[in-house]
Formats: sequence, C-alpha cells, structure tokens
Amino acid sequence: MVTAPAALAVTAEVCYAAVLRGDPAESPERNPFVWIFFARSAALTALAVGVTWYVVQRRRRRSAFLTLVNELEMSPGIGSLQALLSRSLGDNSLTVAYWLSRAGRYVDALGHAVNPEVDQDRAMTTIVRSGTQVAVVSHERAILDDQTLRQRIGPAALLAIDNERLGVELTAHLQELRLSRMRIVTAADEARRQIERDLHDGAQQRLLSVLYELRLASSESQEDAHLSGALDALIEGTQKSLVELRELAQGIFPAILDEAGLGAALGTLADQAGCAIEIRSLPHVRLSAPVERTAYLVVSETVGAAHARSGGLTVNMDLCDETLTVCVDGADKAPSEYLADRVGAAGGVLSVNSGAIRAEIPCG
Amino acid sequence: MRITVADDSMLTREGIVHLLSVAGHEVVGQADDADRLLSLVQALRPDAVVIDIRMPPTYTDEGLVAAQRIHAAFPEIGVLVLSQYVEPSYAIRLIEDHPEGVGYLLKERVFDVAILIDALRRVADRETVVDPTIVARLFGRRRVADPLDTLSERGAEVLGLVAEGRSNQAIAARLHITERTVESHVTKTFLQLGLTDDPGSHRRVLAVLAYLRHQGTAPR
Repeated sequence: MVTAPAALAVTAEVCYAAVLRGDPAESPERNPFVWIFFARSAALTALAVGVTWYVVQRRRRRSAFLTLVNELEMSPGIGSLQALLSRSLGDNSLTVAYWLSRAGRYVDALGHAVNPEVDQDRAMTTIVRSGTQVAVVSHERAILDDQTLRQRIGPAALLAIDNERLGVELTAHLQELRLSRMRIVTAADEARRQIERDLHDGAQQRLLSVLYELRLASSESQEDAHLSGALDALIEGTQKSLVELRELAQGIFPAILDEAGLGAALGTLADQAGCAIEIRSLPHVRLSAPVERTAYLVVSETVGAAHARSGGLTVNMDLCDETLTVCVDGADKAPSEYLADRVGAAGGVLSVNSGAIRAEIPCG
Repeated sequence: MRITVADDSMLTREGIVHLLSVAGHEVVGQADDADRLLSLVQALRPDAVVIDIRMPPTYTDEGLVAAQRIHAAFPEIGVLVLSQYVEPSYAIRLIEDHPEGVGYLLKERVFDVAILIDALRRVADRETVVDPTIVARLFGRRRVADPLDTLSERGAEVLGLVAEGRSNQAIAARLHITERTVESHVTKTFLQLGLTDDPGSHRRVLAVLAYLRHQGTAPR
C-alpha cells in the first residue's frame, strides 16, 4: 500500500531531475513537464493515502487487540476464545484446537475430537506453556505469520488459552465417562440378552426333548401302572422345570421388548405383576434399544418394589422434543440407586415426588 | 390329515413328525426355515402347517410372518404356530387379521399327541386355537376394580374357553351343559363386560383376548 506510491514518487522525481538537466528553463508549455507534474501529484497523493491507511489499520488492530486482552481478562466462557481471536486478528477461518495429552488427541472447545490439518494456505501456530504444548491455532498464512501471531496473542491470551484447555479437558473427560458408562450398560444388556437366547435355544430345547421322550415312554407303558405313574410324575416335574426356566429367562431379559417394543413388553409385565398396572400412554414409534430398555426398567423396577395393593400403578410414557418422559404413579418405595444409575447412564434424569417416579430419557 | 412341519430345531421337528405318523397322519414336507416352508406349502397344499415362531435368519418372529403369509395366500390351510414364549401379544398379532384357522400353542404342549392332533384338527376346520396358559395368564392379571370379579364362576369359565378358541359345541361337551346354556352364558358375559362383537362370530376370540389384555391398561 505504501511501497508502490513511494516507488512511483521516486521515479517521477528522477525523471524530473533528468528532464531538468536537459532543459533548465522548466517551460510549462513543454509536454514532459506537464506529464511529470501530473505523475508527481498522483504519486504524492497515493503515498499520503497509503501512509494514512497503514496508520489507521495499525491503530485498529491495536485497539482490537486491546479489546481482546480486556475481554480475556474478564475470563470469557468456554468456547468463546476462538471467536475472540478470529475477530481481533481479522481471520474468520481461525480455529483453536486443544491438545489433550492424556487422551493423545486434539479437541475443539466443546470437547469434540478435531484433526487440525496442515495445508498450503494455512499456517499452524503451536501454543506452548511451561514447555508443554497446549493448543494449535490454525489461521490464514497470508494474514499473519507464526511469529506475528505469537507476539499478538501475548501472555494474557496464552493464559486464557490454557484455562480454556483445562475446561475442555474436563468436558472431554466427562463426555468419555458418559460414553463409557453407556457402553458398560449396553454390554451388560447384550450379555443378559445372550443368556436369555442361550437358555431358550439350549437348556429349554433340551428339556423339551426330555419331555418328548418321557411322553413317548409313557404312551408305550400304559399297561404297567407303576411305571406309567412314575413317568407321569417325571413329566409333571419336567414341565414345572420348563416353566421355571422360562420365567428365569424372561426375568434375565424380556425378549419381547426388543422384538415387539414397549407396548407388548409392558403388557406382559402387567400380566404377571403382583399389582395392577394401568398403562395410559405410550410412544407411537419404536425408540432405540437403550432408550426402550431404560424406560422398561423404570417401570419393571418400580413394579418389583411395589406391594400388591388395590391402588395399583399408572404408567405414562410421552415422547416430546426428542425426550421420553416416563412417569410411574403410585410407587410406595423410592427408586433404587441402580435405577438412578441406569437412567443416568442413558443421559437422563430420575426424580421422585411423593410416590411419582419420573424419568426423562433423551432419545436423540 | 396332510401336514407340513417347519422348525429349525431338528429334535422338535422330528418329534412332531414321529407323533403325527404314529397317530396315522401324513407328514408332507419338512422345512427348517420360512422360505423353504412357503415353497413347500405352495407345491404340496397340505391341510395344516405346524410352524416354530423363531426361525432363521433373525430368530424372532419369522414363524409368525410366515403364518400370516400362508394364511393370506391359502386361507383354506390351517396354521398352528409353536412358541416357547407365553406372549399374549404374539397370539393376538397372529389372530387379529384372520382369526379363522390359526392357532398359537406352547411348544411343550404339542408333545402331548392328543393336544397336538386336537389343535391341528381345529385349525384345519377353520377354528381358532389359543394356548390355555396364555388365557390363564390374561385372566390372572391384577386389575383395579376388576370387571371379571362381577362374572359368575360359570360365566368366567365359559369366557376362558371362548378365549381358547373353543366352539359353543366343544364348551358344552367340556362342561356337560347344553349348547343353548353356553350361548346364553356367552351373550350375558359379553353384555356384562361391554363387548360389542357378535358372540357367535370367529372374532369373539380376539375380542375377549384384546379385552383381557387391555382392560384397564389401554393407552387412551
């Protein structure tokens, strides 16, 4: 902005001197002098404009930077640092990625994993504090070089970046915990489901074939009253074992829940419950397995803890804004810690209010 | 009767086939999955089909889906679905579209050859068969102000047999009463419970099951 007009001014002056040597009279009627006059005027005007622009720009940046420092001193909220930096440095594409040394990866201010990629037009500035890398700022190479950025960012911004990184590290850590909690619950559910399947396909089938053989033997021994009586007793015993095994399998995991959804599973729960259960509302669509299993557990755990009384329980399940709200009214015991943990693992909240157990489970 | 049997468990399948042969029935075709069953049924047109509810590939409700397809394509073929689950919702799902000629029995019951043959005869004769364990479970459900408590003992007994899919004639024989008495019990019970379905139609089984399943628990 300044060099071009300056070069033009110098060239004009040199030409003027050269022409003056050949014609010291400096006659205004002569063409070269007219042209040189115009060139000198234009060059000086451009130079003046360039110098003014440069000064104004510097002031603007300095004041933007002072604002940045002020705002940083007011300790901005998590996630606002990137916006502040990109505004004060005039680079909308600027991003800040924080290095989580324990997890060995970069994350953004919200804790989501990011991969700051090096490319030709962008420069990466590594922010180091006390000898440890804390963040990488990715910005347009044309606007600033690494050195300028480091100078500009200054100690206040470095402190803010470090603070924000700590916040981000905490958020990421919480997120990891949440996910691992969910994974543990899902794995436990899958294991229970597998046990139910194994019982169904293994032990139950085997008992069925024993029952079959016993029935065959019984039909062939009708003449021998003693043997026939003994076989009938065995048949009865085997049938009882089958019933018990079936109930055990169903208690371990209700296959009907995954296969036919909450309505069918709660119906079966109500068929067998020790107290009356009235189901007033249900979601009209199938939800994800973890959500359905958690919602089912809220009811089944409450039913398990309830006494057989005339009042019974009423169940309402309503889906609104990607959240399933499960309300069980008439509970006479506070929900177990396990239930609160289960709902928590699904990212939900469990609350109790005078016999009403309420769980809010996010479905998104 | 000519019967086709589908079960992925060889033990159960061969057990049923043996029982049927000994009882003098002809087993035409055995299948271990739903696709094979459907092509067998298409080619052989048996009088009745025995289907396991859980079959490959997903081992969930293939048998139920196959039963519905057979029923839709060949309504004259009786379909008996076997399950290890006491699940009223499966039974209701099976009979809700076409209650005639379909049945849902627990697996352990069919090894009693008399029960197996009776059920197959009934489905082949366009009747409905619902396992008594399922009906008993629905009857046993606890309800707030249970309307079933207002029924007479005989009325409840008759209602239970209706839910199992028994005809008035069969109920009369079972309880040693006349068909006319059964009819009057059924009509009275339907009135008492507020059931609007024709107590003489095939749909009465579904009406009773759905009532027992949802009374006091229906989403409003």
